[in-house]
Amino acid sequence: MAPDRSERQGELERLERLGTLVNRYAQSRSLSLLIALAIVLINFALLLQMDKLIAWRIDRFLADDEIQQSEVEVRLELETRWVLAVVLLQVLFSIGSLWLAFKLAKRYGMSFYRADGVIELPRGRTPLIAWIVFLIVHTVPAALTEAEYLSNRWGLALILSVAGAFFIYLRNKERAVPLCLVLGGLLLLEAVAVASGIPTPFHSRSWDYSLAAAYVILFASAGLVTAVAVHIYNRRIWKRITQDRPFNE
Amino acid sequence: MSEPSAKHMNGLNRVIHEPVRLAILKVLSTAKEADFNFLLATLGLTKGNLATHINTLEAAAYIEVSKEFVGKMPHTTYRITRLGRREFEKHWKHLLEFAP
Repeated sequence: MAPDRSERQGELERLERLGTLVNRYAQSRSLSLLIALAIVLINFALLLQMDKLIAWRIDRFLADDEIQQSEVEVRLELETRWVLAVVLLQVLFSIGSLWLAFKLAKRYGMSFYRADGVIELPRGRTPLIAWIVFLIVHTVPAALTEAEYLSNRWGLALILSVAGAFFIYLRNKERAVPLCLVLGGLLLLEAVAVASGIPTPFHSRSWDYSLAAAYVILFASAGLVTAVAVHIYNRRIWKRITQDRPFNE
Repeated sequence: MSEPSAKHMNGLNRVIHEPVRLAILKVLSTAKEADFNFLLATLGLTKGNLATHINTLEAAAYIEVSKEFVGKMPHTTYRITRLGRREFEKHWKHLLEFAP
């Protein structure tokens, strides 16, 4: 009986290990992050271009010397409507592109791992209130920087640390422990680096978007490093799974 | 630890007790769903053997099977049912009790 029992014990341990590895594998498929990052970057670049377009249009209006006094009010109203329409379009475009990023990442993200077969974990359980609180807390340092209560450096450090802490909070809720830990950790590291005065992208340019651009670039860099690092970890886990298969028929 | 009693042995679920089916349920219990290829790759079974054990689990209503076409290719996914999860957890607990 004893050898049977120890054999059974070994079998249980092997299955327990397989369950753990499968869970880790499913939580570390990170290449879908690349799709989301690409769309966020394209979105940001297009937003900047649209903003430049508005500025150009307003400048052209202000520089128009031939405009008659009687036409000023009508033209001003038309220009205001035009700007409002463009702003509305920007907002819709931003929301739409973020939605698209999530949809595409969800639909095609796993296609990077098609050869391994398909495994899906249960849906994330992050409460909506957590997302709302994150969005508010995340926006406050930007608003304070805009109102010149905070310097760009401290504003950026705070935004990065809020994002980093939120990703670490998400790790179990969204069942993506390696991805959230690495991304959250990198964002926190970047926050410390920015706070300690290490130069950030665009720090020397007096540009309206230097804070937003620096944030997008730092976030995208952290995301890129995370996607690659977690993908390497994923491949190692997959190798272990296929090496330690319980049945080798 | 004392030897398992006859009652305990009878208490074990015979469908789940088979090692291949136990392994299939272990993988499915960690996930919402998995497809045939994933189970094949992680367990190291032949297609025929895996299909046979899956049919047994499906007949016992421990797993649900859903079939769809991705392009022209059939794609089959499996998920553990509530009953399957309950029975599996009960069985796993029994096995851990027997382990030295």
